[in-house]
Amino acid sequence: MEKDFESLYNEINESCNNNEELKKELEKYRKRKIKILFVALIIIAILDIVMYAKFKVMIFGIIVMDIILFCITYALMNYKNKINIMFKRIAITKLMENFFCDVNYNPIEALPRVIYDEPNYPGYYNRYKSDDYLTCKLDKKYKAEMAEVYVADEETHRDANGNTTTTTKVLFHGLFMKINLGKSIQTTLKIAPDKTFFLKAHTKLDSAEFEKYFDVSAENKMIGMQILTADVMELLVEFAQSIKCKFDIYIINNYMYIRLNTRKDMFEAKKIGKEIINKKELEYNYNMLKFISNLSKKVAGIIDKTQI
Amino acid sequence: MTKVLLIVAGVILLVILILYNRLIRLRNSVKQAESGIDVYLNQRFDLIPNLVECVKGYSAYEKSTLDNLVEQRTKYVNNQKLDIKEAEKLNKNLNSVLLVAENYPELKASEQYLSLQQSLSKVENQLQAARRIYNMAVTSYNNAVETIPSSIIANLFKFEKAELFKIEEFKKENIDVK
Repeated sequence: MEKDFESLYNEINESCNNNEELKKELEKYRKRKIKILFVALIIIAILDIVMYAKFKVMIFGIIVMDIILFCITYALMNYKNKINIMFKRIAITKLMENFFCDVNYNPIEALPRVIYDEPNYPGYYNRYKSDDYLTCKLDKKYKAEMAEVYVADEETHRDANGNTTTTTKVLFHGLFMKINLGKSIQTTLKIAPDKTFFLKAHTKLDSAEFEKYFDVSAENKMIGMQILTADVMELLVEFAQSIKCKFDIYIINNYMYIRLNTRKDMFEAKKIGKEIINKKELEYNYNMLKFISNLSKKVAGIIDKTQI
Repeated sequence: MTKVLLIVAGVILLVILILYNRLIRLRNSVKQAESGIDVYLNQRFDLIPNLVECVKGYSAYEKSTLDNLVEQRTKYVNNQKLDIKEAEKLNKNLNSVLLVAENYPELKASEQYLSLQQSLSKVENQLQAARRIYNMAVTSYNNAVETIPSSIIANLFKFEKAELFKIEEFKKENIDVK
């Protein structure tokens, strides 16, 4: 049975507090932060004196150099890869087990790119990153795979003076989930945020409210209509209204692909302070997992019941 | 001056052509959707002989009523065009026979009846979808017929409004076969 956030948070907090390895690692991390800051301040002070006294660099130049060095110091101080992985193995695994069964989670493993490419999403990308890969069962029956995915289109332009600029257009950053429905709808049905599909690919539906939030592309209009009944459309609108992120659902034969575009890193151990777990961040992750779990279960259930 | 007139006439002709073709396309979409409903209605009514066989063996329901139902169905199927009023009548009679079947637990538990239930449910689902597609096609077509400037072309070439498939009345007759 699914637990509410407060009980889960208390459980996770207790697990982390009782984990000696994590506590040692945190202590090492805090000491390292202080060391790095101390060393950095000395280096910056020496460099400032040398720059001013020997090389007669202007104050403005010294300030710029100081800012760059502080940024590097901050990055080094907050480099917490090992803690991050430990946090994920303890806290995030518990979160996932709350919503899915037979969870097999690896925080550093990526979703194979070929799986992300299966639904053939619109838009060209040349940068792909993924982690937090897990396999699980949804509702104790549907096999599923999920991961955090980042895809972007990076373009480098060179101007007449030979200067290069790189522009990055992020196409998707969030949770990606693939579910094996068992039952095939024998066609392709795509439900995406409004204004995704061009006129030709767009299937018009008989709900103005639904059309405000979603665009539908149905290879077989009959099957599309059988699945997207008035009740189902109302349900999807409710989901869209309950969350700030956009999502899309692609159903291709017996597979369903859901993307939840959170536009931020998921499951990372951020802002580690005196407490091991950042409650606000954990609650955000909890809500996102709850949303995608509810959405996928509901839609999978609807497909199961629809006689095609 | 003549050139300008020719250009204007050409543009007007082009606009008329575009609007006319759009009306034709929309009307064809309505016909296509109509044939979809016809297909599923026929599938629904094709289950009548099975239903009659089921009910005959279990109830003392009037033989003449059941035979009438089969006859009505044959007449409907032989009619090439979708006739909504006839479909409504036939559907009403089909549902009244289904209602009778509900009172016989042995009949309800029989394999033949259970298989019939599944088929009816599937066709019902498909019919609902077909009806929605049809009504959307009709709405788009009627909008084109009634709004300016395509209404001018519609009146000129005698395009008439199409009727929506009134599911409310139809739906009232549907029995939830459980």
